Amino acid sequence: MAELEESPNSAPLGVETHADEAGGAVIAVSGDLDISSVGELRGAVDQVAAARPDELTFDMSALRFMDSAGIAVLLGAAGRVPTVRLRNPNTAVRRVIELTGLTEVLKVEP
Amino acid sequence: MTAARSFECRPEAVTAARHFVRDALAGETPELIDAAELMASELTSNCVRHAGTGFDVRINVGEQIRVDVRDSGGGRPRPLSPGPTEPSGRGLMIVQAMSDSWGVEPRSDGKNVWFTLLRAPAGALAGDGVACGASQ
Repeated sequence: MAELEESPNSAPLGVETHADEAGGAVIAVSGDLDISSVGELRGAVDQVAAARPDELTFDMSALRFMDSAGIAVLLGAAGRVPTVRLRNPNTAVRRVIELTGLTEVLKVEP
Repeated sequence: MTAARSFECRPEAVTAARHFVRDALAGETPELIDAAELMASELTSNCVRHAGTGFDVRINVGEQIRVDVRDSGGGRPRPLSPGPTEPSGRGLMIVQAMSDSWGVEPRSDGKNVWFTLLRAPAGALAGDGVACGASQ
């Protein structure tokens, strides 16, 4: 169907979990995060949070788009993991984060 | 220029509607396209999440950009002010903050939610309201 056609200005969501050098949990998110793809990220957060880490970093450097569906998952993570960091969001993603007041709850780096 | 398309009530339709808006606004500034895509995503997600009906998206490009999202569901959406840790209720908050104007028009067969964005004059990327907060 026409609804599934690819556009060069978007990409499917990618979610990859790994540990950084210090052993902290990192979820790298890439592509587009909206209502149709957010379940995949929620699943990854559930899995990581179940291990009760002290810190969780979302690497957002390859995330092109995020709306309030993504915000809800990030807030959910912040409620379960003591320290949650958002690393390197692009200008558009950073704007959503700031507009919705997430900077009060989450650390955004840089 | 006016472009319109109908979408089914399913999450993938939100992704398709975002693409539709981006494609219709090709040639506008990246800031404006990003803002329109984000707000369209919020409004069409509300159709799928709350109205539970298919929806029509109409984009009009004139002196300003206007995007209309019409569904067949009842209820009247209004922006909430959730606390910093509450997970939901931010969609219309985003539309309110990023648009130049927006509104809800009740209809006999549902409702129409719309927003407008001012187009930046040629050569001036930071248009009124469109790019505020985007530059650090």
